[in-house]
Amino acid sequence: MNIFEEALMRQAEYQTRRHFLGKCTTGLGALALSSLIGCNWMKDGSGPAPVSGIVRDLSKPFAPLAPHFAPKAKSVIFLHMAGAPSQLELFDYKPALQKLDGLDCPQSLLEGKKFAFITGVPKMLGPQAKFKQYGQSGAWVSEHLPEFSRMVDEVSFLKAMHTDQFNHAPAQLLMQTGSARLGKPSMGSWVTYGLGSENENLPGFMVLLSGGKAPDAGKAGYGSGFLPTVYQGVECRQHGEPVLYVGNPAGMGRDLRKQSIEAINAVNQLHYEEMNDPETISRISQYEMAFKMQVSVPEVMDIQKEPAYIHEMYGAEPGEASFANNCLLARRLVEKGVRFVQLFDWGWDSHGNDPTNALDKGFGNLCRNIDKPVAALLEDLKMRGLLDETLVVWGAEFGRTPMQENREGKEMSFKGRDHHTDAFTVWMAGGGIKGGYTHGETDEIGYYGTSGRTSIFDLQATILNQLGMDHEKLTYAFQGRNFRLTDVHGKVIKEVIA
Amino acid sequence: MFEVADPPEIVLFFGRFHPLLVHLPIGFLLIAFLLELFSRFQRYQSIRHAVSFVLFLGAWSSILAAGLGYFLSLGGGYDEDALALHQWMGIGTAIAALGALLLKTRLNNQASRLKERIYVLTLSLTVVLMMGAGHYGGSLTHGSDYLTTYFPTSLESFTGGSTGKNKKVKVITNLPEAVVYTDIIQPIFDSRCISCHNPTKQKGDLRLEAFAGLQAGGKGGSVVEAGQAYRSELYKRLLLPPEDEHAMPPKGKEPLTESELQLIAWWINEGGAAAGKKVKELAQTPSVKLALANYTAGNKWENPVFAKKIAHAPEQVLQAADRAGFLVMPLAKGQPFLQVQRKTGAPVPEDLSALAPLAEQLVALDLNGTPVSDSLLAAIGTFGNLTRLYLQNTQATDASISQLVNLPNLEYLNLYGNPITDKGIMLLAKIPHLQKLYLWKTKVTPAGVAALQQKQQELQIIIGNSIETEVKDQQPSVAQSE
Repeated sequence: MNIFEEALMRQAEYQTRRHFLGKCTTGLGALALSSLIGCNWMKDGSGPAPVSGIVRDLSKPFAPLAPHFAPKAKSVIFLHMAGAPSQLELFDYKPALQKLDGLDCPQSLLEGKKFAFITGVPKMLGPQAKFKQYGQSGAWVSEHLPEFSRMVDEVSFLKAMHTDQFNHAPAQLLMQTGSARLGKPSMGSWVTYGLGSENENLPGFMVLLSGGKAPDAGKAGYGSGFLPTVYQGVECRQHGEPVLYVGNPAGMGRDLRKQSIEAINAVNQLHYEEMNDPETISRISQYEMAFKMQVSVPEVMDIQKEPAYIHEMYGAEPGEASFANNCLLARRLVEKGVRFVQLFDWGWDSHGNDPTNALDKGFGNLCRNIDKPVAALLEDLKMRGLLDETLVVWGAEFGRTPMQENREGKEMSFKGRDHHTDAFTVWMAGGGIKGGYTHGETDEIGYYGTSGRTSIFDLQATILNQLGMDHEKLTYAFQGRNFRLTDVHGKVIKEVIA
Repeated sequence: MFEVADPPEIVLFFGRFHPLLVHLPIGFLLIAFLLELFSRFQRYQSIRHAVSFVLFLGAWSSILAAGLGYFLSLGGGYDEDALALHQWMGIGTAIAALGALLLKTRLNNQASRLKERIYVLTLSLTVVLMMGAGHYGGSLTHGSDYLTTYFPTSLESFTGGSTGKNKKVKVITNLPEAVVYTDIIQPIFDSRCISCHNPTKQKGDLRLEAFAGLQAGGKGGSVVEAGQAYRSELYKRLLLPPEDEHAMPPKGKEPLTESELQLIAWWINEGGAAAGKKVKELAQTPSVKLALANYTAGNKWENPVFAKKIAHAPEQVLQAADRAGFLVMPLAKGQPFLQVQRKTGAPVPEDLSALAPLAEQLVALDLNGTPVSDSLLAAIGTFGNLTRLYLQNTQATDASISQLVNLPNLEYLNLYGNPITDKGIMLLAKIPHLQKLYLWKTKVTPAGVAALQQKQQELQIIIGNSIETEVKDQQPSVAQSE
């Protein structure tokens, strides 16, 4: 029997009564049980109607869908400063902390608290930067962000954000997926699943990394979790081809590529009709998307096309891997209708054990790397009329302590702060968010939010709200219940909405 | 009312169980009455034996509830008149119930017509008194307008008279001239405080329905110290964390917003006690200005387009627009309003005739990067419901703009990257509610912008970073190549 005959034989066996009875003795029981408890997802749709509020044709995974209500923002650019920069050296000005500099931390602040590295009694650490008020709103910004300070009247600060995870990877997962554990879809996946994308030639969710290292949460920070895999973030590389294997190998023309993809998809279609696995449909649409991306991605990722003054404005240098280039790319992507652009910039973990990020050493350099690009991004979006409908979010997974870190009870070689979950600053701009506004306040030393405390889930609910989605209604049925980005939490921060 | 200077805490402790227990006699007595009523029918005769037991429970629980209610009243803070009514009706209920119980147990022994009548009368009186006591008790707890607050407006004409719900917050049209106390502070009290601090329910002996009550202060004396927000009891209580027992509004009620808190602090710091001051007479810090802006944000103009009742566009029209190369998307689920843009890679359309049947539904049109000829834009004036129009990088000229003056509802207009001049943008002064205008990389001069700004004060004109230098760089990279 040759291989072809064997395949035919196998297929025929699947349809015989003998095979059915022989292989399905336990399966039959399970089938009966599932129909009794109401879980029979039959091919003809005779099972219970999907409880998810969204009906998606998976052969067109990025077809635009209407949001729950009229949106303020069409796209999101999320600037995630992986490692967590110190709010006390950037936005949360605490002159009282300067007076306590070098004094022992009172016991009352330490009782019942867990820190990543602080042990025993640490010393307080005053602000390591000078602050001034800027703009009509009089927002405090440190000397580290001179360019950004021009733009404060476009921005709403959330000064009393809090989280419950004090290590990078789980905290980043919580920020991006709404859960500190692996396996949940990221914000960009939820958004593209719920809204689709207006550009059918580009993925709806793209990810750009800088800082020389991927975020600790890894690719799970922009994964699709239990959503169809087509919604995961497409990570673009900083050197060479922006997406691996997007170019054709030598000798392979576009026509030939087209024919081969069509052939593969035809086989996949047959397989889908036989096995009925929705992931096969995802695979087909991914092949189609990949074919379109062969043209669209190199074009959109080529920042050489931008005029010189735009490069100057961002401080971008084509060919280099930098946050500046990524900001410029983010603008190009939302201009083309990409729904969610996720930037990660690694290296903000200012413990004081390393001069490159120590608050009295390299922290200023890190800030310099993002200051001009962030200001340019806001300004560029604004003059193109895009800031009006693009929500820009800047933040990190947590903040940093008002105490100086004393790892293993010893004095550190440089000034640094430990991870802090109770108070940190995030800002939002554009996309229907108030300009020149501050929500939430922290106590005199920036240790705890005294008013307007907002959680990670509140931030996520607000982002979805600006995109026209009710975070309680954007759900997906998985493992027997409806899941959502904010799970059982989250309240839209109405105060910052214009 | 009896005045007890300081009731011992244990009394107040038990007093608070009054709301817990008070619903028992209500149930018991009502069921006793119903049992008595139904036992008179042949069919339910058997239940008459239950009456005396249920009445027994009702009488004793009402006595207990009345006692606890008295304890609670010693805590004070209630409107005297309503409390007196509630108290005496409650006590009356207990007495009447006890009387009915005695009569009933006697009746079982020796029945006479007269006694029977007196018994029925007493039982009925019990129920009537109980209803009255219940009603006034509810008014004490929830406020006297609790029941009628959500009375359907459409029925009001039948009952004659307003329920007070429609007392609209006065819209502040002229902020500098607004009176700080009456136009800003009192409305905050009205929405957040007066449900407990009013003439009928004076928690802490404080009334906040008018300036006089505020001046009179509460149990602990004055609540506002002019010029010293942080020393004013009223403000201090508002700042307390919700867990604190003195925090206002109490736990479970929605706290004041930051803007509201800021405004109250500002009003007190600027001399609070004086009523008639106007907004412009008091010094404003940047944060107060912002809070004022937030507070009056509710007054901002709402586009009338979205209040219109518009039919959904027929499916075949949508499909025709799709075939013509337009991506047509509903603005939101279930709404008829549509936003339209050119599909990625679709050829440049000759005209907008495919969209003509959607003129009513069309609220946003994005022609970004599509070279627009005069014929293409000729029909734009018929899309009268457009609120957002994207014409960036389209080679639109002053002539094209002349078509746009027919769009009375336009809020957002993007013209960047087009050879438009000062003359063209002056035409836009005719669009009444235009809010955002983008003019980067146009031939518009700062003088032209200033002239338009003069006419349209509310309009935000965004010209980009350096208008002069960009002009020579201007080679509109039209035609989206993708």
